[in-house]
Amino acid sequence: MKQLIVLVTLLLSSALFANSTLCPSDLESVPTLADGREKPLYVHARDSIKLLTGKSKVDDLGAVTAFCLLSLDATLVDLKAPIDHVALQAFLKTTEKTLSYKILLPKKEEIRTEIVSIKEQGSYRKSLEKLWGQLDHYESVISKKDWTLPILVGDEIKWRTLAEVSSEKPEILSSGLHSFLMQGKSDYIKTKGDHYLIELHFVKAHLTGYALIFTLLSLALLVAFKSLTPGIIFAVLTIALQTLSLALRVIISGRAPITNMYETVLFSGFGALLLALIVGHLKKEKVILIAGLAYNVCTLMMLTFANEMLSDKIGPLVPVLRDNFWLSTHVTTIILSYGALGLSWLLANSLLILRKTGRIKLEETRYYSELIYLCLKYGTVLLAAGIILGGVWADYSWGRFWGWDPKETWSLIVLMIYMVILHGRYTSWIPPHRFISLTAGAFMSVMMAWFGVNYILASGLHSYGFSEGGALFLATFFGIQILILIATHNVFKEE
Amino acid sequence: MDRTIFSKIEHTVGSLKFAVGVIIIFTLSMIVGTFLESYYGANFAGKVIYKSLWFMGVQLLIFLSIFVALLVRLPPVKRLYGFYIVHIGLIMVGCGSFVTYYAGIDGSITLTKNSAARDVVLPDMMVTIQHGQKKATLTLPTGAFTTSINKEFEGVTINKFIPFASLGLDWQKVSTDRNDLASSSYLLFNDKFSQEVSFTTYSEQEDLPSSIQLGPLGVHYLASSLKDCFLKENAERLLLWNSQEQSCANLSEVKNITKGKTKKGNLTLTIKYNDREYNFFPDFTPWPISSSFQIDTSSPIRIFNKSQFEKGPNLFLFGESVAYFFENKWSYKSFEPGTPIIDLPWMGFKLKLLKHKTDEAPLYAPYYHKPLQKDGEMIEGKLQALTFTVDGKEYWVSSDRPLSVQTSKGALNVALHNKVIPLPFEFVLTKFKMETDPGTNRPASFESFVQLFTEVGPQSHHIYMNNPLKTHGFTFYQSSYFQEESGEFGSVLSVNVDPGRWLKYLGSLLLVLGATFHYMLRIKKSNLGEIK
Repeated sequence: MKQLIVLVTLLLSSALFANSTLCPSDLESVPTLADGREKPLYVHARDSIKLLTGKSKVDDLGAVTAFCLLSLDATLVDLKAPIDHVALQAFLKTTEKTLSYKILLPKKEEIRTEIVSIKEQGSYRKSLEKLWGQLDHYESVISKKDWTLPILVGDEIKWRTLAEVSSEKPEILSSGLHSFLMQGKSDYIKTKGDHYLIELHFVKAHLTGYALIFTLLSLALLVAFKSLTPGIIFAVLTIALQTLSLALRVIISGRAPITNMYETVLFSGFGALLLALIVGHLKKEKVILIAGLAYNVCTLMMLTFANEMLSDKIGPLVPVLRDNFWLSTHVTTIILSYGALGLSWLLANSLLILRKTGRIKLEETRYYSELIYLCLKYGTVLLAAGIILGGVWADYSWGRFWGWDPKETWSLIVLMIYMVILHGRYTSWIPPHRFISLTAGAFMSVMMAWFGVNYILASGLHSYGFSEGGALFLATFFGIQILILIATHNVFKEE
Repeated sequence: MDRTIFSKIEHTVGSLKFAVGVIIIFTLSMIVGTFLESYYGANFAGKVIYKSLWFMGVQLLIFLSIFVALLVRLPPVKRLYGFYIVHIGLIMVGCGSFVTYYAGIDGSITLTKNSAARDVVLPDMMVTIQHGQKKATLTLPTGAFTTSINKEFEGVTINKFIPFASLGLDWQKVSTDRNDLASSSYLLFNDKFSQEVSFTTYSEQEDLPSSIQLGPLGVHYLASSLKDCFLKENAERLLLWNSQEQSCANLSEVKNITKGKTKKGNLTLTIKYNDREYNFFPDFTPWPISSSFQIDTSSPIRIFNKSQFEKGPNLFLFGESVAYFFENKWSYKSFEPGTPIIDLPWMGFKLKLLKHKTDEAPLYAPYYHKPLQKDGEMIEGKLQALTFTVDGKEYWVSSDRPLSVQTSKGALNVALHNKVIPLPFEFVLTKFKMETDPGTNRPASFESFVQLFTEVGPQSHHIYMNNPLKTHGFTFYQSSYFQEESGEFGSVLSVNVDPGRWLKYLGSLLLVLGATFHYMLRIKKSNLGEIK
């Protein structure tokens, strides 16, 4: 018995030892080429494992070790694909929420046939397509084609897949991998510099997570403890972290940080908070800062938890979006305007709910209504400017100022809706209490222009990713907003 | 005009209620437009809403509302300076847009490598009619639905234009001099597969070939008069079939025929018919082979080598009876009334006779279909079609190919095509370069190297994304690319002339400056502090 225990322990530890010597975690800093960009292996391994399992770890193994072992020998790691859809579970004859790729891989063709046989685009077909894509990626990883290695040829770095390299030098699959990769890394750094390592530090720093904590702290200090200065300090710290985060994305990608959904959400939260700090300071008004912080919390929550919808991957740009000053200014202005309109939306809804719960007097609402009006003014001017800059960009890139593309049409719809509200309010045609409800509801048009065009209409030239789950998110948002409007429709009647 | 009526109109159009009303109509139309685009594509949404006359009307009302709102607030008041600037800016943008709409060009030019191009293709559709010596063109309506035209030119009456058309089979009574007209529809099916096929011997049918290939199975529709001829055995096992005369003959009975052999010993036949020579290689195909070694499926005569149809599965349909070769013998079967199904000897296939007529023919005809896309490709409604009457008979032509008809006045050619304007110079694509993202097939940039042949001599230019070429008042943008069959890349440039551009830019600038002035600079005067 003792011998058996010793043997098992030995085997286990040797297996662990084998794992850590074959694929130690310091491989994370090795450069690789994936999705059209050179990046640290850590980033690619994490994206790969996330795509395959929905998580960034495999049991106790980190993403890099798991990815490396999987590439070397598929039997070393048992990766499991998430099987969420009930119909998909039935098709695969399982009740488990996950299924091993070793079981799934032989069924790849069967899954393909099933996809082809389903005519309508439903959630089942989508889940099948997703699984098929995962299996395709799994195959590419285990066939060693997903991992490119840097090799110095002459004085230039060339990229070869692990499959190509290992067919010439089979020894790297056993013991030689680590030293081979480290040699590749030092050759790469000598030739091209270590700029790519910034991304490793950036991804590992989790700046968004810290920004969320700081924002929450600031909000708590301002609201619960009524301590203004510490609250402002944390708000400024949040801005600093977000500035750093945006700056690093610019350095890594070499372009403005506003070219996918993730970045627009990040930027609008940042913009709204910055605007709130400035206006709040000028007007000596704490409420605007609180609204800015609350809006920032909303966006940071989305960034942290809605990974399905908003991918933080830094990808290469489609050609028309490259090297374009007008694009950067256009999107920045639009997103800033969404931030300002977001502030008005938050204030309006807070006001409605506070009235409903009887925690604010009717006279007080007049003052806050002015604040909302202020946000609207900033928002609409920025939006108008952003739309025009978009026209300039389209003219510069495509030769037309306006082309009725759904994204630009919806931005004009938003502007028109806010224009009606502003004109109505300016001439007292819209009574003050209606103004608040209208402002709260009007933000739905912003959400439609921002997310709905991509997630619901899903056509047109603006190519932010059309991710999954977005439609559900939007429907929930619209549902809650409409419920709030219905529940508070009579809160401004005199007591 | 009566002063009170004038001021009434002024006060109605200049009022806020009017402005809000038209803005709401404008906004709702745009919302509908974006959804229409999502379902039916940009072209359809453009025709129904964005580029329609009524939507232009709504925009004109907004323009009027802004203009009158400005007028009624004159003479200038210092308080309203921002307002004036914003509304003057809007009016300028409106004027600029109108100038662009009226005098601008928004088209594209397609360049294939090393060949000269000078035609800019515009989105408007036109029809060109050439009847005898006379030629006319007509610009077609831009609406999204079928439009009656009813215009006549040299005996040709244009009936209607279908902007989104699909082609479908329509069974119609036809009159013909021949007595062996036959048309049939069949369903070929087994447990896993089913396909409906239609045939006719009515000859004016390019889209309905008499021989089709369904996987390994060749299906051939022949006049029932050919059946008996087909049943005859002859030494050479060759049959000449004339589809124009609906006659068949054993080869030994045919005159004007020259026989020969290829180097490999295959039979060659040359037949003179209607002053034309047809070359056949009956061991390979019943159709003649053209001088450029293409199979000529438009030929009126064919030579069937029965031996050739004994090599693989081939099914001959003679309307209500069929023939096939299986297990070393030819079998002939007829559809019995009541049970119109015949068992075929391959993979459990059965054949069902769906329809058989001797006075009707299934004719391809265009019908209106809203554009439908699947996986980024148009699957329905992708054609434009036009119907016209000449000599009392109705014809149709679609945008994918022109139509030629012999009429009492001679040859009539009708073509549907995009409006084209020629450039004042010629364009030649000398090189097309595409770069991909490293390690992927995704295009990262595409670049066209072009040469321009102008009156002052050739010039070389390099056009790529965000680096357009501006010359002779035109601007050329890199917009797309395509690959020819030869593997060579071609380039598509969008061509633009926008005389309203600077008016729009200036108006936009005023708009933003005015709004900033109105809201931001006067913010100190806001009553926020007072309320607090």
